[in-house]
Amino acid sequence: MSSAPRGQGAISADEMAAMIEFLGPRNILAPHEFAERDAAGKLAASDLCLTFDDALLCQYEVTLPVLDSVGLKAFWFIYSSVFCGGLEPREVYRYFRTAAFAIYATTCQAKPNIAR
Amino acid sequence: MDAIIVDRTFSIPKIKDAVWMSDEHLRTLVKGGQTVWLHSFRHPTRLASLPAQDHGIVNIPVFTSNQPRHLALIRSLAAIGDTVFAIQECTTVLPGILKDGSSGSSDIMRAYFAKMLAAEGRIFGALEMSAPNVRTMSLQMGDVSSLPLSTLREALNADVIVVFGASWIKGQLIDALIERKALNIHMGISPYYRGSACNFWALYDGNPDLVGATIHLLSKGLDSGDMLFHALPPREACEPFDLGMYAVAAAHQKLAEAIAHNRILDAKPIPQDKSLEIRYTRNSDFTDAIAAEYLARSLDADTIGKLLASAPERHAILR
Repeated sequence: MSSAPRGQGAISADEMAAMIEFLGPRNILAPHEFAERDAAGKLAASDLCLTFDDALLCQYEVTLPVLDSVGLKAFWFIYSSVFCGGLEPREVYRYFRTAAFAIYATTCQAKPNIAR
Repeated sequence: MDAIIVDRTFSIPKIKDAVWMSDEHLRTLVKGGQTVWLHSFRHPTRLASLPAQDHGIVNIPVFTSNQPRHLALIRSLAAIGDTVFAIQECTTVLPGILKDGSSGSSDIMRAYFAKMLAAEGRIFGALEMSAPNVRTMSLQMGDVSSLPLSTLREALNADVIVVFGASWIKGQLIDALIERKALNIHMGISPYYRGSACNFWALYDGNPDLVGATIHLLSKGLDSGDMLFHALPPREACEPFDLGMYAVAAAHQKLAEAIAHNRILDAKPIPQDKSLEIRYTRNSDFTDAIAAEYLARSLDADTIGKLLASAPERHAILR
């Protein structure tokens, strides 16, 4: 279960599992296999792999259990500045936007007059 | 935006922990057979449209010291820069335990600095080795102004220069640094508190809202240069020694972000209004008697929280 607030475009573990089910786990290549086919120039248009960018904790918390449940492996393309003391403001602002205004959004849904 | 986040009582370090994986998470991924590859070092929104600094192509000299909080600044700058030249004026890492010339070694100083070191450890971790892109020059505290400029030639040929926790820089070096618009991190909110141990004195005076940092242009006077911006710790109940260290962390973060986004000189430097000065303090003002009196008050997080909530508006704080 992710501790992160659910932001715009976020999907749940159930939705992730449904997408994998729709694609078919057997149609999704392991990273090393995808990379080997690419290096050999043998990637077919239908070849699939899963990639997760930016080292986000919600990916770890939401996605990894789903992948483990069906035995899938994926690429995790990280940027490394955050592992040596850096900070990428856009993700901080995204989190703040989601977390700080979730209450406001909920209130507006319940009381439409407030939004006007 | 950072000011809005802090005003809404969000803690940026806590957000960081909530947003990104840790080293341990990466290890778990790798142990589980997942494939972890690097797509970049930093990740601004649009890589191609940003200046060279955002690609990490920047040399950053930092005139600093050797405590964990200074090493943390070096790490922060190394994370955004190509090469960091760390000119470190060193003191004992056991102040109050080993005599270092400024803090003495009395029982009360030992007690005070034990609390400060514990807070520093909680916020910045223990001493550790520098990143691979850090080149160091180690000096004794007070030496740097006596060096011939030629010794620092490489460091002075830089994009942005930072001073944090070094000795009072004088002579040819201060002229060279002023000419290059070097930035000083003053741990204290100028113009309210200037001099040494400003954040201690702000707490001593019951002004935790004036615990923070001032990033200003380096000047010949002590902490008297024109101000660029302030950095404040989260405005929330907090143990007093931790509050001071969070202020240091806020300064590192805000400065690193400004350098990374080439925003350092976006704001017009503001001269300091000395009429607002509450205290100008020297090392010699921080005596055993003062430290004992302060410790005897046993300030706690609740008290800090109440004082923060009732603090007056401070119009000279640049957010």
